[in-house]
Amino acid sequence: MQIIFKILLMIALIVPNLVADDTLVNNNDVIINSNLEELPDAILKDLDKKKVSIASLIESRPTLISFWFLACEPCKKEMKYLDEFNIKYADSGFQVISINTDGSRALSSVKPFVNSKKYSFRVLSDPRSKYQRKLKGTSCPFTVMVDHNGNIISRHVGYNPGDEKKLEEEIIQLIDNAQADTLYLKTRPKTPDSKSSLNGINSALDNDDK
Amino acid sequence: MMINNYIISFITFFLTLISFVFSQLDFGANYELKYSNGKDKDGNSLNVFENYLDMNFYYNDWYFYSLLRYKNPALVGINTQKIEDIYDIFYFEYYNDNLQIQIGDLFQSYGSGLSMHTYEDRTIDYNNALRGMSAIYYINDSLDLFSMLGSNTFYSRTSPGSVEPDIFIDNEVALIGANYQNDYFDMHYLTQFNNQSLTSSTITSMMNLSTALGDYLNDRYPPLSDGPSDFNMQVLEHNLGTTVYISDLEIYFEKSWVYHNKIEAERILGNRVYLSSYFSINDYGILYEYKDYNTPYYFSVFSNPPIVFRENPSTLISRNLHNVDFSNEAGHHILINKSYSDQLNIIFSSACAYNHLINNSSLEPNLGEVFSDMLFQNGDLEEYASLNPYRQLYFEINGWTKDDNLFYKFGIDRYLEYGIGKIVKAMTIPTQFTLKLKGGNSLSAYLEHQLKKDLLTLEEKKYVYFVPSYNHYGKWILSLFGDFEINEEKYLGADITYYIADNNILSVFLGSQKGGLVCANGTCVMQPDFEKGFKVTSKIIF
Repeated sequence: MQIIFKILLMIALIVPNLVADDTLVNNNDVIINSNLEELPDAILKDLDKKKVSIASLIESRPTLISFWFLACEPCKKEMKYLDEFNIKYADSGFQVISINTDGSRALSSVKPFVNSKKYSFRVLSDPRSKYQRKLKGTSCPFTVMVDHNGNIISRHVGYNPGDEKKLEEEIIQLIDNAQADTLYLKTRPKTPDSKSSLNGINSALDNDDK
Repeated sequence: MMINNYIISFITFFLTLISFVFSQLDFGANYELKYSNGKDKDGNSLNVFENYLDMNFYYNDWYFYSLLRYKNPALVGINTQKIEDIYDIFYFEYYNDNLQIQIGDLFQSYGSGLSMHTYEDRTIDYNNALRGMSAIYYINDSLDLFSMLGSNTFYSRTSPGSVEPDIFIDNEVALIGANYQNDYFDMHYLTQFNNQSLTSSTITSMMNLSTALGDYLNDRYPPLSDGPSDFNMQVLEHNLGTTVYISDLEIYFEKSWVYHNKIEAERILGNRVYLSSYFSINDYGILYEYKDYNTPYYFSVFSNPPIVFRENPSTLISRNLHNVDFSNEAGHHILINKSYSDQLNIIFSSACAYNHLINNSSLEPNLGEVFSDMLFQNGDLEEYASLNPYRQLYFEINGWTKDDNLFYKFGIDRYLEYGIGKIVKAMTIPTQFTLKLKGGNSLSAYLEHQLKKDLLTLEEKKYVYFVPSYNHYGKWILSLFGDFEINEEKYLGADITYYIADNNILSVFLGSQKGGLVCANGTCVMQPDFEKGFKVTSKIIF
């Protein structure tokens, strides 16, 4: 049995890298997954215990979803930059959704921390990490980039100072893709589907025009 | 159980296969490997080979999750090599706007988890999930109904140093409840019935517990008696929680009433209470928490309530982690957060806790004494020694310099805890620095110092923990570990983490690493010391 697992291990270590050559395209050094994978929906609660559907939050906007917990120092360092990105690129339709994974043992301390920092992004709670597991995350910080069509573009595990550069490059790429898509659609007759799927970006661009 | 796992194996294999054929079925996986080859503190061989594979499948509103684990040898817990052991977790989930249904291993919590909070923590081999079915029906935005039905065999350890469990408890649970919320308040109520069975060997193991339950069992079954028999009881819990919002003030209160038997004796009532209050004055976020967990004769499987102290990410502070007695403990916690700017943030936290003295509550401190002691740290709590008191005070400042290039953190922690045969008093100074370099590279360092004293033996120890690391932007990280007990033992190691891709991380550790206690909601496991060896950890997202 152990031999089987060791063989599986070798395959596991090698195959993703072979596959990666096919599924990842290098565009200005930003790694984008070309295999489209739809973001699964879920109903989570915000810090005021109001129920929120992830799909309703995405609303055709390029989105960065970040998972964190209070005792995670790298998570808190990353959140400073996520807050900056959320403000800097808000006019382009981009948003950050922050998801806290603290369980009931420390959940009460989350709101005081978030409020003291006055973060501009929305914070939701995933106390049993079920949604994080759905997105294939097992540790924090765990960051997922979602494009304006609701597809998962990339995932990042961990954060080290400097990594925010890479995140920002990806955010710009997401926004560029969304705007290119929108401009393309503006030049052709809109179908009901395309209209509904790009409402968020269109309205953001309209606001920019104004 | 065995048949279940063969069926689940087949389903997983089948879904994997068709996910390659039908693009509508999304498939994803996450693989983690831990391999180590070294020695423990006594020079014995310490080899670990653990593999975890998380698998996800989606089809429209349907979702299937499974976790496979192969552990041979395991770091903590039993070895799992056979097909009936390999399936650790699985569940199906269906959801739409009004309904969520889950079948399989149920991870749920209601309120603050006073009565029901199931979760899994693979690092300490903890899993109290029920296997069965749960549902939530959203009647409207304000009201929902929920229910749960399932069973499990929960296993645990009487001694945190044990690798294998010695307590096995069978549970059959039915639960039903409702949530209501509007803009001014929310509330929930649930009632939970548990048919619980304990074998005589489990009850014998429980006699080793250093809790009120252990004392009771030792009184009930003295050395020359016949000893315990198998025991079955019906446990009924009512749980009520409510949050009230008044302007910037938020108050949460929750209580559980627990009707159960003493083992092989009369029926009694226990209770658990949790209160938290949060408000803000001049942007100082102030949280006050109170707990009173009082079910001393009940070994709770599903209750995982708030700990009511601040978990600190510092390595040396976490080695003094307060071991909460979730069956018999009262405590208070004050937490203050304030952010003046990105350059200066402060955190203040003060917590205390003590056991109830069975049948003599007159010795417990009054509220004035508690708050005075939390804020002014009066003496060494000798007058409350019989209550096993705990007290911890922490203060921290942190921030980035104005040019955003240097992060700093300074903290100070004072800790005092009365345990079995020891009174630990410690002062720790954790610091942390991060310097950003050109090209996205960075240097980080954790430097911590601790002075620890046992007030019983007057033995004094000094520890220094130093971990510098260099991050080469997006490619690799090199960390050096220095963990010293002054004039005594030292642990030196080096770790290199290589980002093969964003979704593929490989870490190799060489050297020695000090072990420590890892605790989660009543279960603590001693991670063994690791001497002169190497560890490999790999995380891959497919």
